[in-house]
Amino acid sequence: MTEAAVTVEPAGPVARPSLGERIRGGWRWLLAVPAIIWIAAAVIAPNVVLLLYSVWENQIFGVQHNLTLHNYETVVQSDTVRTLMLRSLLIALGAATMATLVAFPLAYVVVRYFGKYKFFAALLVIVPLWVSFLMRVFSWKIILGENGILNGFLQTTGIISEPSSVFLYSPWAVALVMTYVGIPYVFLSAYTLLDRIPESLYEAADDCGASQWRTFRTVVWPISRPAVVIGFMLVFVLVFGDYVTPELVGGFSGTMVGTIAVQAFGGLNNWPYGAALAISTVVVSLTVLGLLSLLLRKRYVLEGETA
Amino acid sequence: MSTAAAEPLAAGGPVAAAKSPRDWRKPAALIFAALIYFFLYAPIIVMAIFSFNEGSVQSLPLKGFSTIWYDRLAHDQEMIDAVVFSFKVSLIAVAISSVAGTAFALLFTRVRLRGLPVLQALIALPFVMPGMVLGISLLLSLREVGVQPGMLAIVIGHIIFITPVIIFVVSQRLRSLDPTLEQASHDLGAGSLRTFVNVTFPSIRTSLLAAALLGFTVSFDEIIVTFFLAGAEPTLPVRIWTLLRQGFSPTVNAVLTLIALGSITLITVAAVIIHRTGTKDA
Repeated sequence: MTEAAVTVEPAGPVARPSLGERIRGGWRWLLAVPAIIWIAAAVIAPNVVLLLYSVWENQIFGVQHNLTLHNYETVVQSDTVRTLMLRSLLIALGAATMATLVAFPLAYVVVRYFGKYKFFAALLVIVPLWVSFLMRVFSWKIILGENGILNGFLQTTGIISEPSSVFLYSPWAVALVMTYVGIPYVFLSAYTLLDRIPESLYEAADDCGASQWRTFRTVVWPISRPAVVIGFMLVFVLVFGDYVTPELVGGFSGTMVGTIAVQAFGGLNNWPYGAALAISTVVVSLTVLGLLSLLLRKRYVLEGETA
Repeated sequence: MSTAAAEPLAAGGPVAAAKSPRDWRKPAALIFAALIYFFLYAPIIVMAIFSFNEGSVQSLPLKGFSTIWYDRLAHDQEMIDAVVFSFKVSLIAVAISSVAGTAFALLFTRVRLRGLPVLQALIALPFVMPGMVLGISLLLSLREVGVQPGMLAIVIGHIIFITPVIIFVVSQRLRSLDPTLEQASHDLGAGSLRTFVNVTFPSIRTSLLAAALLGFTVSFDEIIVTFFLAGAEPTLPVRIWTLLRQGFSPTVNAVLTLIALGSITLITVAAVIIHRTGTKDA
């Protein structure tokens, strides 16, 4: 599920390999050597070290290179970790779902209804991605706080009489803010695909008497589904390991698994435990993403058979 | 050209009755879009407004217009140092990533080799990994090879996750190029290097610039990974993050608003460049 590999390529002319063709077949792989070295040093090695640390022993005087499963035992047996892992999972799934439910229809609307302004309409959705992440999260504190904008608005309109403190410092606040942060990602991946569906396809469906809903269900959705799934997964990954948002708007009840992983490298000073937590986070998120893509693939096959 | 072209067709089609629902559909879609735009921009505008608020408490009611926090910011040496440090880190990281990213983009689009898609996926992995995991793994492995948290560690970390961005943007451009141009250059006897310098590079120049701008803004704003790699000298986001956790100062609002203004300008320029080069070719 890497961006470069899964994003649908533009249907341009097929580029002819020029550089590679000039080097005789057997030696062509030499061109890939720098890339292989890069991957070994920048991608493989750090993860191997992470894995090693997670099975090393933490002692008062430093990390001992003895193999042990103690760190994983601590992770698995800890009620706190289990609670936080589950909560992170729910928040990440919730935020990714909400972001998808907002961003995909929005991408559809922009492509179908904004005509020649659609590029700028799309740009307008993506621009917040380049406003500081901290700014996007922190301003929600101003909005949701007890003397915040939301309370002010609700009081002036008479919906509530006393300022409420329920909006900030909860798992819901984290999910809301992460939905906000995630929308541009899902939008971007949905828009690039929707934008490539030719107008003639809609017209053909219309000519065949299909309602807009049917056109959407049988034409638009099957084409754009992979892009939506990618957007969903990007947001999921983004939220699952986040420790900044929970700390700013989550309060105690909104703490997530990233928070304790950070603590392992700070106050706790137990790096092997932190490494084990990081590995566990990856395993859990990969499992969930794997199950999701499996589930979606099955449903797709069924739809294909009935349609 | 969407509904305008489709409507006359539909009116003459078999479902003439469908015209009336279509009438409410467009306004409904526009209202939906307007609401989401409001949702997307309200928080950003809120912070910009609060950066001009005289009071130091981050809540209503507003105390009155003032540029005091911008004045404070101008004299906040630690914050200025962090901005300068961030610029240094991001510029170095982007410079190296641009060269490496372009080379890898050429490899992935111009060389036919089995297994390349796997390499391409692996190289992009750090960009889609949870930032926390990337940060921790880099902290641990850099320590193992003797690199302590600090500027070098941050630069290495940023290079690792910006390069995929550069590869992605540049290879999209490389794929859209007319292959006959490079072919012609070769037929005329130019070598690979000469073809790259005289034919390929001039056509990807703008995309590369846009990619570098994108990479710069990503690097400049990064906090999740950087937090693990920062030593005594903080990047701007790390400095702000520290301020947000311990005693808050409204100068944060001011600096964030300024940065937002800067990045929005940069990114709009980058997007328009990408858009232009994308359509010019099509």
